[in-house]
Amino acid sequence: MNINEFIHINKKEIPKFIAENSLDQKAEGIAEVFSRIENDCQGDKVLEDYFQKTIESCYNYTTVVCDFERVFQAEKDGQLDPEEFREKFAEVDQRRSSIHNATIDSFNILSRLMAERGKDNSWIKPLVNSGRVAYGNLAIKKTMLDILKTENITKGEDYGTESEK
Amino acid sequence: MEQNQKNSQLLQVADLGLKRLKNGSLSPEQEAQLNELLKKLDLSFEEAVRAAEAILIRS
Repeated sequence: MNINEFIHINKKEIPKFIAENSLDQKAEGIAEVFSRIENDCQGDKVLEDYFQKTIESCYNYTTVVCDFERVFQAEKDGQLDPEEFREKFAEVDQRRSSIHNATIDSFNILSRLMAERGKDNSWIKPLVNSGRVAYGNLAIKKTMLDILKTENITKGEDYGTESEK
Repeated sequence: MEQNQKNSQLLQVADLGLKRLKNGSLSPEQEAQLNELLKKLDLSFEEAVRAAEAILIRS
């Protein structure tokens, strides 16, 4: 897949995600969804482990997206010649794709395990309906939320949910 | 602030923030750097998400 094709596909998918994704875009909505999932997982070792794995997948995905962006920035800043850019792009793209798949698997496995144990897994529906982009987007949002949640230096917003206070 | 500079600072925030999330803590120097970046960027969650989504368009 060439770069233009790659960008084009994702640009097309994003409005679809925004239109169809019923997960609240705001911090409180994301925090609430994850807090609910975490509460439902509590007390079940398997679910607790998979919840943790899913969070780690979110962090891993955000890490590789940052790596990806850094390659574009280096190219823009003239630090990479076209050949170097192609090589680095291919390497990071392969890694990003593989971590994206692992993130999707994590969410889906957690959802399936929760369903098997009679727990509410309705949170997976907007992700399944919207496709791959939605999983990646949620992973980044969750990571940003956790990064900013641990800081006091935001604009006076409180991202903690009731259960975390 | 220039958009490129803002993007670059956001990436640094993500890098340091991720390091702290994964390792549980940062060195005092890194902690100070992260605080300084967040002060400069003055990010709310929604702004951080919008910036992250701008990155996601390519990813």
